[in-house]
Amino acid sequence: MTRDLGNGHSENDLRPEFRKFAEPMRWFGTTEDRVPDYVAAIRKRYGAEADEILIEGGPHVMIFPNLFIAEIQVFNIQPVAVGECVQYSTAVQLAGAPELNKRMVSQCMGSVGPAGMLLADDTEMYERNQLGLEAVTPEWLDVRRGLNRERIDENGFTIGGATDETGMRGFWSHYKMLMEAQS
Amino acid sequence: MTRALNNATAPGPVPDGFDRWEVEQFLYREARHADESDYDAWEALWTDDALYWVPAASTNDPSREMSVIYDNRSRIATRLKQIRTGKRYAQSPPSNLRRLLSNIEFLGGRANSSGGVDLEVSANFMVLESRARGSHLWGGRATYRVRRQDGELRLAYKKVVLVDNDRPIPTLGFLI
Repeated sequence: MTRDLGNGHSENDLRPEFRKFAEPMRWFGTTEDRVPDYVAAIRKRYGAEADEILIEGGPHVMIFPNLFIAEIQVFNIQPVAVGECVQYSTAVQLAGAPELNKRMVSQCMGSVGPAGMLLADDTEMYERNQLGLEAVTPEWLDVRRGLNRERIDENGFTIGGATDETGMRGFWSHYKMLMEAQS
Repeated sequence: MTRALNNATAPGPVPDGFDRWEVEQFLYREARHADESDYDAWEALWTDDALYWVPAASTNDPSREMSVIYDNRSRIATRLKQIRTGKRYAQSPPSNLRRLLSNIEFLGGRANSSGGVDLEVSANFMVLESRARGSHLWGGRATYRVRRQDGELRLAYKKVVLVDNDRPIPTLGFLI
């Protein structure tokens, strides 16, 4: 599900999906036996809470305005011109987890960066979106998807489905508030 | 990482059995398959222990620091499998490409894991990429390790050092 965390921040909360499977390290696309040192260290340190950590994995969160953490990788987006951004990306590295760190570097390198098997396609979409915006007609960019089914969670945050535009609405409404002149 | 260490050391003497004309034709063929997005033909050039590496300027140890591409043979296969789906949007439609190779130098020999010696050869290159967002000129120096396997030349290693790899680079969806 997507969650508007307020102040422009949002997350794609993947935990409900991983909880359904309840398999440690599934979030990382692997199994316990492939990263035994990491799993043992987490169990030793967190005891009864370890399973929750190993099942739920890392956050997938957009921190307003330009820091994005996607489980195993970190992005920093720097606007350099009206029609141009530079996106920096690198692997998350955990203190004292060399076994997992090595895999995160390898997986991150395959996925992100200018030639990444995920990110190159994402940036292609960013560029096509930009072309759409530059066309000006139609005048509005529609980000209403899922507006009809938003709910408030137990902590008071607005939540929507996994592909709903709840996070984008949160981002742009905060941006608008910051950019408008004080009346 | 042995390969990274290998790379820091000078190669041995140029091994016997590599004819300059034959090696040049092989490099041109690799370039043409990449230019024409002929993924099957390009993939068939690689050995099983292949490494296809495009470092960033800051990459010293590729096992700890980011590269643009750092593909072993299995990941080369994954990359090409993805492109072949037609849903690799960074290459759908594919870029139109032509590249030039020049300054081809035989650098020496590298012992390989099957007990032989690969030829290390390098070349300067320029690639003109034409696509919807415009044309882009890519340039740099590629270092190849070429092996003779069952009488044929095969590619064991290709390291592509872009001249502008110290700066942000645009989407690189094609085979460089």
